[in-house]
Amino acid sequence: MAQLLSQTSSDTNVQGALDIELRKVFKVFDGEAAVRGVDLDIRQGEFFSILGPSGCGKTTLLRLIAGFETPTAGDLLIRQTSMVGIPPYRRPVNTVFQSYALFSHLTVEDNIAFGLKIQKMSRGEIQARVFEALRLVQLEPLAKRFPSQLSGGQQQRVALARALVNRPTVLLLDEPLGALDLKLRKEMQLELKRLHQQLNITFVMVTHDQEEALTMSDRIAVMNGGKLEQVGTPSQIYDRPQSQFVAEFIGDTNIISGKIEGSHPAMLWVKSDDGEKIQVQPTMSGQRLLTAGRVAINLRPEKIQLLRSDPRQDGMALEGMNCFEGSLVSTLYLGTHVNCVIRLQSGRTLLVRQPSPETVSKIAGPVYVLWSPQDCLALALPE
Amino acid sequence: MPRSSWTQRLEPYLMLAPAGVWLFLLLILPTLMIFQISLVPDIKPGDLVNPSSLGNYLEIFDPIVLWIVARSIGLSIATTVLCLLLGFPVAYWIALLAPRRWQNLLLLAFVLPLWTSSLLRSYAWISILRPTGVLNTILSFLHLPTLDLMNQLPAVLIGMTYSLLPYMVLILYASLEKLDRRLLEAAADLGAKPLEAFLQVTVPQVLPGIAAGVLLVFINAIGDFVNPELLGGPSSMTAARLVYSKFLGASPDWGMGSALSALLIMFVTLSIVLLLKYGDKNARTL
Repeated sequence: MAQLLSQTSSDTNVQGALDIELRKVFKVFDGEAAVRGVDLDIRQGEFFSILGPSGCGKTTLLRLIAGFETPTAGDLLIRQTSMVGIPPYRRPVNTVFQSYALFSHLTVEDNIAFGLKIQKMSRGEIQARVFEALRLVQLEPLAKRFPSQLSGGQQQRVALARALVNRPTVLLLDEPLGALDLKLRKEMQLELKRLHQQLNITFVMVTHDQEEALTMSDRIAVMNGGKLEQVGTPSQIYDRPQSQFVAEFIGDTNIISGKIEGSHPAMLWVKSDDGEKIQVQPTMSGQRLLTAGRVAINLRPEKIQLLRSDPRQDGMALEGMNCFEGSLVSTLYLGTHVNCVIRLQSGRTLLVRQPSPETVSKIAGPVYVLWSPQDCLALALPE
Repeated sequence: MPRSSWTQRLEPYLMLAPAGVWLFLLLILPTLMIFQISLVPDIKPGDLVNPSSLGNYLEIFDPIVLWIVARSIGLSIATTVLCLLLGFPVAYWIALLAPRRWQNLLLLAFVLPLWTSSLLRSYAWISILRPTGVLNTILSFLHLPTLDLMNQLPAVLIGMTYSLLPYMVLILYASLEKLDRRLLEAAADLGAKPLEAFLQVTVPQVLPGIAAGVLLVFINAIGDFVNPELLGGPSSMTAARLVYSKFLGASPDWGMGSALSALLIMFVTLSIVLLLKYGDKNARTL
């Protein structure tokens, strides 16, 4: 059913080829740089997310690709053609706008047909394509309605159909699910994934929701202060953040700052500011391998095991593991899991995620936290 | 203390009463009187007989009177079209292109002429357009042929357009200012060049505003008496001037004047009803 829509893009879809290339792109508004020297490649057919807090420049980046803004410096290519000076109406991209921007004076059908009519396509073909697009987003019964007569989720689908019907090389989505409630969001996330797989065209989505980016994307670019912090697959971003910002922005994390006391190609020994001796598996931090200096150890709450008796006395093999004694301070029930706050003997508190509430509810007295050096990550701190 | 239901029901009427009494005494009652007078043939001032015939209305179907009515309508349409053509770019510029902090100042500049008397404005145009006026002085200074516009329809058209342009600009501005600019981005995104986006998105989006502006200017134009009287001379007789002369002129004919008034009132009311209906249809889709 999606063949008609995806024809043009799938014909030329080559594995590994690039759809969008940004070369040292800057955008300055009234002396204030919103985008500062971004280099980015987006591959053909991938679901790419640009993730960041509000004001980080992610929407500006999308608007640069769409052509609503022109770069102050740098080059932007779509399918190897420079787009500098090319107005939005000549670019092979279509956008799903944040609040949909549907034409209120046109019916659903005419909204979807807008781009095709501009292209002076024959009536028959317009009809066929609009029907196809309506089917794709499951809105056939609402073709004659006006946007004001639709719910938020339905308007969202119209916006999608209106963009996709033009068979763009790249579909740009600006916070597409931001205005929807949680249940509808989850539904539309699946819907977008389905459309992406079915149509096999490149999706570039801007979002501030890290969970949304992690679940939907093939690759993610994390942005902060107009710059790219890290570009990678969701698991690279989550498990191997390259900067403190990424580690903290994506998911919960414990941060333990300290100093490297000894190093070995396979292990770092770090003494935390509170005195704990922690073993960390060395990783690339930015471009260099850490061997000395101050570091921030990042430890995801779900990587920590919580034990009620001292594993050292229980005879567990603890060679190379990090284990500390502490006490349970508080718990927060979150439905699928429980967040526990554990205070170590040094006074440091750690956030620990436990799968089931039962294991936590009866805890009294000392507890022991345990994690492997592979499960934590040391990032260099400025001296 | 709980208010009884009848005071609650009375409240809106009490609030409407002052304006209602005003409108009844000064608008509805006189209009009804005009309708009554229009049905009395050969009425003389101070003499009111029981209404009896449509004779006064038949007098209007005199070719000369019909020609005057047609001229009035034509003049009003021309004024409305001119106001729309001149006013739209101005309103568009102020609403969408001018720097935000200037908007109020620019609007004020456009509304300023409304603060002077319409009589004064007409006299100002006389001093500009008369054969030895400002315009011709400039033209002859530039060695260009002089123009004889005074006491003819072009002078009336200029005066009326000048008087009514601020209304058009204000109404179009209010409409354009509310225009969602992201719709223009969406149109560009879908391949529409600026002109296509303007015709297919901007214009339909502000159509209710255009309808309102056209209606207001047209009604005011057809009722305008000052500009045709002062700038038009004897050759540009309009329906409003004819009504005036039938009441206060050398040979009064209240019956015929009232009949013409009544027809104008009905014509204007009909256009309002039609445009409101049309405007409503537009509003429903918004």
